Amino acid sequence: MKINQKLKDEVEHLEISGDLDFQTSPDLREKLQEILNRQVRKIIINLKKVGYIDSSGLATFVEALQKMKRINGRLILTEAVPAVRSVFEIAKLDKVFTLVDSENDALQMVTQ
Amino acid sequence: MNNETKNIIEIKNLVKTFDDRSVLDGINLEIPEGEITVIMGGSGCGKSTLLRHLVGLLTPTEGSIMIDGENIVGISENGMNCVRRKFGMLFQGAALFNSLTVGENVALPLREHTDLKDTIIQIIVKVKLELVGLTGFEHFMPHQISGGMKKRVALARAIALDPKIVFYDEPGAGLDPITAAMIDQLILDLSRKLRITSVVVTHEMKSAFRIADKIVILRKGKILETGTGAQIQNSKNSYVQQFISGEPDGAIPLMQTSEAYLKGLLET
Repeated sequence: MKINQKLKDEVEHLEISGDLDFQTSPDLREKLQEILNRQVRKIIINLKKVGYIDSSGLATFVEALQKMKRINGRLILTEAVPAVRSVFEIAKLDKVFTLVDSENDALQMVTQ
Repeated sequence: MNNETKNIIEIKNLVKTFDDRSVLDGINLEIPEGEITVIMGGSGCGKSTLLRHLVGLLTPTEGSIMIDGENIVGISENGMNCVRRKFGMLFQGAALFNSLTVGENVALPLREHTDLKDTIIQIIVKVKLELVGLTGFEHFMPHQISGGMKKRVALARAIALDPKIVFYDEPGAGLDPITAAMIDQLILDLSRKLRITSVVVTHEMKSAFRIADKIVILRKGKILETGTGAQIQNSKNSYVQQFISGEPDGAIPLMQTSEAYLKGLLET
């Protein structure tokens, strides 16, 4: 799993490639922790290159979302492939996350 | 089975003898990925022994068992531990730890097999309990919940590590018919939604017909018949028909005069 990261106009953009599973999700958690420690309030995570996510990946996003809500931040997930999106749906987490189809949509939402 | 489905479990010529008694006598069976396979048969047919081989609790006398491409016969302890990460098991009596809360029971495999932080584990526990319809029960102790709820907690624990395969040992045992049907529905839902391969050992016909993509009937350590629910229901085999209808007498004699019994009597 790889994470590409860039900060632009106060929005942190992450693009994850590879599987998010029990082995790799602790690395994602560390990365998100580092971003949250910088008090970043807007995060867009692109999931188009994530083919598989397990419960630990899901839980890592939930924890990040909990923390963002505490600081009134926005965390938006974009371009999740159907296999990944369905994992959110099965856990009924598609209702608590903002999952959008494009980076542009996400950008519009965080800059509103 | 369609062409795109692969077999996640392949059993070849599995033989198990205890002393000189043959309990499994040349089992050849393929279990397709993502489907529900129900292994049935009367008491003593070898179904529980077969299940114990699949989870690595027994070593066969002969034959091979491939799980997700790996032969678990003769595998090292470390190798078996890796294979075990791929499957979950629902034990007949739920087998919860009575001194641990519901949440701690579900968290156990995550604590044992991963390095995940506690906050992450707590979230996973909540998700798994929601999947089995037990949101809000994590602080209950096992003795405070019903038998059906215990089974659901055990199921949440069995799927804690996102297994590819879940083995169920008599999932409806000890439950009333409504609760047993509810557990069946849950097995169906989880298998379909999470695309889990399910291997269910049971002697309950109703349950088998409700959930099975494929039914395997064992008798005296051999596979007697394999097919879909409809194929089994229409089977011409008299044993299968007697088993389905639950008649006390038929191909399986109600009272069998054992030759050994008579011989034993007459020789004394």
